Amino acid sequence: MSERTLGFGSKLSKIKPAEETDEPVVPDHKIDEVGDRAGFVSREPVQRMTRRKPAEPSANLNIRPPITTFNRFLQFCEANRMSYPEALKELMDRAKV
Amino acid sequence: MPVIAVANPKGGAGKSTTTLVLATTLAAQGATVTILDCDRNQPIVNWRGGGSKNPVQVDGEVTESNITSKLDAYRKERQFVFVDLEGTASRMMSRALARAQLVIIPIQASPTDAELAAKAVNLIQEEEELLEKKIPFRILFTRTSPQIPTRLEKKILAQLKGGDVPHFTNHLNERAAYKSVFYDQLDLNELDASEVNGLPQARENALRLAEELIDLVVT
Repeated sequence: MSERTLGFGSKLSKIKPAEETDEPVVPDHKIDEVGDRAGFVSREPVQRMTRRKPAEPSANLNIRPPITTFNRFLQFCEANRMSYPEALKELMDRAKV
Repeated sequence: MPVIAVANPKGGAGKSTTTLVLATTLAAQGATVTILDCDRNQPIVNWRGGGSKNPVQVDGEVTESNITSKLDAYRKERQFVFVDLEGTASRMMSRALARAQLVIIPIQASPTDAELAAKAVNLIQEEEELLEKKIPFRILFTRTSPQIPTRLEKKILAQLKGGDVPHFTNHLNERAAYKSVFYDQLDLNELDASEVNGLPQARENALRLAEELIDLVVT
């Protein structure tokens, strides 16, 4: 069939992509009103947003440092408004570990 | 006149098959064709993932919020933009119909298909009032026997004629080839006639239907 063209060519060439038109554009919400009345409603669920960023899996790290080390670490976290995991990462980054 | 929406709120009426058969037939004849696959099961996107060399372009990234802008963009670039809609009464469908220059409503010869098709026709008529323009539509019988019309088919056809509901004179017959295009992920030209029964008839049917569609679009 790929060789058969049935004279579509001339007819097909009459069909052109649409040109810019100045016909009035009806906004979507107007169309949605009509759709809602006829029972054509939104099927896409409203997604709940979350502020938590997707993260890699985590693991527990339980340590008992001397109290002076503990206090220094806490002061660092407070001063930089970081969580413990963020502070640990930051310190290791700085130390190039 | 390039946006052609294929819509019936009933599932399994033959929307994706009609879309793929018509779009690939037109593309094989040299037309520039894009399909927006709005069905969440993405049957046509999956088809495109196969080995077919048919030049039809498929876009499956369609949502309620971007369908309008996508249609406005594609219709300025392509000769035909087909919208394969999901088999539900959805906001996506009402937005697509508002941008369509022709709506094809495929139905099998069954009362449920016909009833839900009537729901789509009702929406089209309400949108026509709002838009103050005609949205031409045509019912298309799908999966009909090429030889003998069933009694139910005749009855439904008589009702359509009685209600002045426009329909395609050609049907999309029940043919193994129309399932094989999805299974083998090829177009009708690429299928192997020794593997698929009735392939020449299926190709002929597709061409006749495409021809009728072109005539509708040109006039």
